[in-house]
Amino acid sequence: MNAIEITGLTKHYAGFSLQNLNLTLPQGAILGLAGENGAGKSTTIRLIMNTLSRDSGSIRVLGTDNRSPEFRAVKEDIGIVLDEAFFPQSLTPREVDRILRSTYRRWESDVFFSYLRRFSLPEHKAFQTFSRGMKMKLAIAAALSHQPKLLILDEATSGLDPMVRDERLALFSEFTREEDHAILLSSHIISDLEKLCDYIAFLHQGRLMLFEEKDRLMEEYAILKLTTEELEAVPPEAIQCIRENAYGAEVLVRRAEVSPGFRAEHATLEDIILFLARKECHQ
Amino acid sequence: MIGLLKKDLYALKRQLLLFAVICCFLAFMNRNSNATGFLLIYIPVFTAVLPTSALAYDEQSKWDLLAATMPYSSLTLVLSKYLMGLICLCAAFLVMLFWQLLSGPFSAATLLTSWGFALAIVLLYQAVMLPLVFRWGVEKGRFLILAAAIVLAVLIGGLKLPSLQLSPLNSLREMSDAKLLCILLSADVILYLISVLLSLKFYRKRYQGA
Repeated sequence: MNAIEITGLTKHYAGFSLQNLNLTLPQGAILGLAGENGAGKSTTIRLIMNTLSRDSGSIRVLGTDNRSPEFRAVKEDIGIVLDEAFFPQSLTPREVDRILRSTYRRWESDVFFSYLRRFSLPEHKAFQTFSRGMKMKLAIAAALSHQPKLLILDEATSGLDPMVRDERLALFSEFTREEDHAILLSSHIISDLEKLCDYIAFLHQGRLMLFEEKDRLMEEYAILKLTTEELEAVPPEAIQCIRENAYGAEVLVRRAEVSPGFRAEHATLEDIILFLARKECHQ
Repeated sequence: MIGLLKKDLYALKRQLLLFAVICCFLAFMNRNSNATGFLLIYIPVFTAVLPTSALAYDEQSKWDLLAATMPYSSLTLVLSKYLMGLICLCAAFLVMLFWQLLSGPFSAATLLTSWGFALAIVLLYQAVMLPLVFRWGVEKGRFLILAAAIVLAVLIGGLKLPSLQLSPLNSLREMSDAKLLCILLSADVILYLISVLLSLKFYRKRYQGA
């Protein structure tokens, strides 16, 4: 069973369209949803949680159609962190525990408090006094404390300093040790996705530009730095994108389709995504 | 549902504390003067706005977006605000009863009538206000109800339209308090049910577009 299956998903707003999105997140895997601000990542997450209407398409979450009445029970298995921790300002973590204890059937207060200690969060301080990092930590603690099988994290690491981000990534990695656990992580910090994810999906202006297993992606693509004359010798079918500059061109190629005579450089995930986001790739 | 009610009470704790302080202050002042009349207005007014205040906090913190991802049905999320309003109303009447007992002897019939009218007005306010807030948000909802109240006041009091003199309002004026109260409370119950259905429809449109 897949944790998330999205088929032909379309949503139109004034000035923005999410177009024919097809994505699958297998259980036990981590899918990174990359894209610039406004690319459609949060819209996709809202559609997955059925808090936004769609124009067409279908979504199954943990095997259940997210528009069916059964989806409410499935929400017990979903831990969610939105781009901010949306708790009322006057609440303290202890009160959050009391509220969520009455919300989730499998809520575990001891697990929640152990996360609070692990994240060095005070139990009795009001949420409004927390820094952004502390707020996100509280949201993550809440998302992990009701035995979720699927974690959905919308920009959960943005705005955090690199050390804290690294800790959070280790925590998410720990979560997927259980084979029926999965994570959908949206972020515009590509390095986070590169560290953590098994699959990468890249949204650009509401269109899915890329959906691939990360390791395969890294093996498949390479960068050639060439003069204009050298560029002519590259087989056209190998060329994915060209970025021209004053000295020649940088070319994203399929590694298997260029001869070993070319000095192909390793392409990072960020390189691949930046190339794909350029207009030249769409032609 | 209990989780949502707890959340509202925690979010409103400062206002509830302030309310308690004001009640204590009035109780202290009442040793020398009779503030019962003021309290009879203050407590229901305070109670009437609590569900809207809770929704304002939800809006401010975007809790509504988070709550929509939790295992609650739309009906539960909407009903929790109405139920919170009713619970606060019950608590308010307990406070008023306590106050009345402290203030010395009183007529039970007069008290029940004045409480009945206060209850009818609070229920009417909540029944009208909550769907507006679910549809347009707290700020616009408050503005709309204020505008509606001004228009109504002008129509009834200011202009003294001849048509209104002949309207059923006149026959209402001639009714006994008990009969009028029964009609008002019955109308409130119907309005409350319509209000819940409207709020549910608006909530679903906002968070599910269904």
